[in-house]
Amino acid sequence: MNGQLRVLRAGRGETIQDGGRHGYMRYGVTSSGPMDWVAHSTANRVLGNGPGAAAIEVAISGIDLRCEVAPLRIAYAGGDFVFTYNGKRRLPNAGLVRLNPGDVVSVEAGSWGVWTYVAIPGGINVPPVLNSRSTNLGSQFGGLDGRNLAPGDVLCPIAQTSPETRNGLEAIAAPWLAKSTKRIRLILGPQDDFFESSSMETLFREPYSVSPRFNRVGYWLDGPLFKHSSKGYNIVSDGIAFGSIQVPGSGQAVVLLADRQPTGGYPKIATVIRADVGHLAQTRPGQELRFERCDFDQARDALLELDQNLGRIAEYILPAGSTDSEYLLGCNLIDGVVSVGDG
Amino acid sequence: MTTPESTSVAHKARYLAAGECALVVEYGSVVDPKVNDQVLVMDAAVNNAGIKGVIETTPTLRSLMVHFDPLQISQAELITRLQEIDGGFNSSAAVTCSRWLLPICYEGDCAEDLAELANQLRMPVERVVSLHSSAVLRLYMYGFAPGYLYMGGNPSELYISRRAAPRPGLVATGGVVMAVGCTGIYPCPLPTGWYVIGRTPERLFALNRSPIVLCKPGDEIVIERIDRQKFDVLSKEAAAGRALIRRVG
Repeated sequence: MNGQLRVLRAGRGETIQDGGRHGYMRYGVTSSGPMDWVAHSTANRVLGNGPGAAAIEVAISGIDLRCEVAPLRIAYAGGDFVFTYNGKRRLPNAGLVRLNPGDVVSVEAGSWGVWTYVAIPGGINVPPVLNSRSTNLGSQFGGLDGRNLAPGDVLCPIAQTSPETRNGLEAIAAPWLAKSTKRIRLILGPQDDFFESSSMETLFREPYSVSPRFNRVGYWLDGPLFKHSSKGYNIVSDGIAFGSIQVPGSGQAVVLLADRQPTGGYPKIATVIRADVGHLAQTRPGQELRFERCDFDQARDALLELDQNLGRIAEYILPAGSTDSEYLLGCNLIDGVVSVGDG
Repeated sequence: MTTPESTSVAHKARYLAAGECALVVEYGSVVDPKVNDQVLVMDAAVNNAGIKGVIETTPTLRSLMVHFDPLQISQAELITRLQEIDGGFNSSAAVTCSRWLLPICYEGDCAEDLAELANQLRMPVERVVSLHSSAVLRLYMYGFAPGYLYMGGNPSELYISRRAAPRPGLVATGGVVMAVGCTGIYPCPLPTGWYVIGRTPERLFALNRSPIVLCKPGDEIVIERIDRQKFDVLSKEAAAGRALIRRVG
């Protein structure tokens, strides 16, 4: 028998997301997929899943999950979220835990971050729609009936779980999961020629912050408004890439993310590089954002470094309770958690 | 098949970065069948070429977005490959397209904004319907929502701006909307800032059907005007899985 997870409590933004729905943007279908692909991929790889396996995307509102039927290993990674085991033990912010039937893991927002990911072996077993298990909230398909997770939902793993005999709890000490204090890197375009040059200077000089208007479609930015050039702000619709910063007539920019429309009719001044788009997605409303210009080679190098690090994830998995790791101390581990999950 | 407007000279493509994982191949900045033809020919050619690292392409009215993995192909290499492909076909190449006959009802609750639109255009309702239903529409692209048909070819007499603010309520599935010289068809209930002038009983987009759409960009659509009663009859047939649209060219 396979273990499974039952949702006991869910907020208003927990969905199932895999690596995204590819090949259907030509029909107007958004790509969906994780808001922070790096954290999503980290959690999956720790379990030996493909990087695009379907996992739970947990929003700030949090979730409570109970293991049922048989033991189940879960891996999780994301922003700073508080993972609590059976109501008493604090787990590492990112980790690998073996749960026994009846065990409950509660997930609540911590000091920073907007999303965290909970992966199970092989990914979550829901029927693919258009070759993807990602939830498309806007069009209400994929994942579980195209909706947010709700109490009572049961999530089963695709892979047969093999109960582990070693310690039931390990921490993922991956430096790329730490809160980023660096500037978010942007490549100009595709329509930077629709803006006054002063707007380009402003973009790279002034601080911005994420507005309270944010969701999986995009994050609006508070800060200096952008000025369109004499070409205006209406363009005939063209494609929108993940992370493109679109500026409608109001001059207020919106960074378009996982659930964006595949096409749109406003100029895009710049695009967040793939290596930094997860950091942007983990930025809470009100938190400051600064931008820095970068070119293709720098963006590619940053992505390559991340990709290589993700490929070496095994080196970053440490037994929880290791006292020689500052990272684990930083995770506020409590003595004795090594026994978590040992049956 | 080419449309009468297709006489302009082919446009040279511009290559614009949309980050390091997507590239825009832009053929123009206007809604023009010739420009759209270039996009569609290029789209097919790029997908046939099977370029390593290309994940998917999104053809739009006037540009092709190429989504790619920069760890498999650099932007410079990709542009070189695309330029080779772009230069490899005749600039007068046109996409092969079909012409479809689509039933649309312009009556009663199928056409909630028709009277308002006719009033704005200062012409009788019948004139609006007659003009629209005798047009040859061209499907330029899918966009805005899954399976939303974005069509041009509206008679110029029917030109009207978008509404200043979206109209209250949702457009029903199959709702035919019009503004800015274009016609759209809704695949599912959503709001609109355009005018609802009719409704088709055909299910032009269905997730559980392969292919999920019936028409492809470049196709032309002519209209079979149906009354409210026939709309109900055909709606039942569509619900039972029968295709209503007919190829006529």
